[in-house]
Amino acid sequence: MLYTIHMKLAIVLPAYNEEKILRSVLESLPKKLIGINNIYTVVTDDGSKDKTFAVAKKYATIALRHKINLGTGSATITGIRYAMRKLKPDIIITMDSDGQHDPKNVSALIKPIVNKKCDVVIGSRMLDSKGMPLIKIFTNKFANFITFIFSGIWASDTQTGFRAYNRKALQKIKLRTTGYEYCTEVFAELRRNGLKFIEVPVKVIYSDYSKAKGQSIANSINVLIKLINRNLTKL
Amino acid sequence: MITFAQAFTAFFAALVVTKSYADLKRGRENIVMFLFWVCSWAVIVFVAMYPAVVDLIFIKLSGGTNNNIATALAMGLTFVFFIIYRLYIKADRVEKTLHKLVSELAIKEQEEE
Repeated sequence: MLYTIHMKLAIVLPAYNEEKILRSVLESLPKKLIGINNIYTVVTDDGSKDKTFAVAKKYATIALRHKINLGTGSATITGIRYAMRKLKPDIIITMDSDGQHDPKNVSALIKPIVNKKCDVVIGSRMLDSKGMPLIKIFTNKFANFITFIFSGIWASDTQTGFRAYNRKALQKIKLRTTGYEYCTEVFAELRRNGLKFIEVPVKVIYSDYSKAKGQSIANSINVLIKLINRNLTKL
Repeated sequence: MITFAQAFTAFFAALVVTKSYADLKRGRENIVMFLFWVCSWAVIVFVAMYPAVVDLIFIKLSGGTNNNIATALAMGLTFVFFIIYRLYIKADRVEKTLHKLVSELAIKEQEEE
């Protein structure tokens, strides 16, 4: 076993109007993990209109609040930024707060990083897409193709928010977008910085609640335009 | 007989005006802006339904010949694309600045608690 001890893990969860489910999501997160000494949960309330922030304050280690709604990407970046500055973790996991990501997969996500096999782990919903709605499968495959065009990397699930990063990766990755397109931008940064990533299969819990959330197809067009803009303004 | 292009324009206009009305109801847009969009799209739909109007205007403006119509339309289209591009860039910059501000404010508030 190559496990090292004294590692710190921060789990970053962007949340928007999740008062109904946030508590159960936070309580279901693992309290102990092999190779990890401290586990912190960082919730960024992205300008919710309900009591998401109050729930986050009660059940998360750290609760951050966006004054206005700016989108998942923006809330995730705020959470990561805070964790990197104040908690100084060795590993950061990002995951959705709508309950669609199975907390049992957290250990599978950090294992390759703890074992120093890679810098980033992508929790792929597509490696076992049983139960996934057809429209989601189609949208994900289209997004994978777009990601391939912009980053040159082919991955099975480029739009998942369930990911793990080591400290080195987070110091090198420089994100210039703030919306959903950050999912694709991360892949471009992996290539630019020569960071190693692997994909592990994760289970997705499709409840009526989680199905109602997520990215719409109309938003994909907006994402595409923003990615074109990112690449144009980079020149 | 309504052509596909006319139906498309009318549909698009209805979409924009409906969106604008929804924004007005939510207080995101003021009445002047709403009326501006309604008038603008009414003109666009009118031109789409009666394209001969454009010919008449250009013939009047060019003193009786219609040679410059295609050039003027191409220039107009280029100008519209330029405006869209500039607006997009500006909106993008504002969004990024907003993200930075809101993000830093969230972190600062947490630190002060």
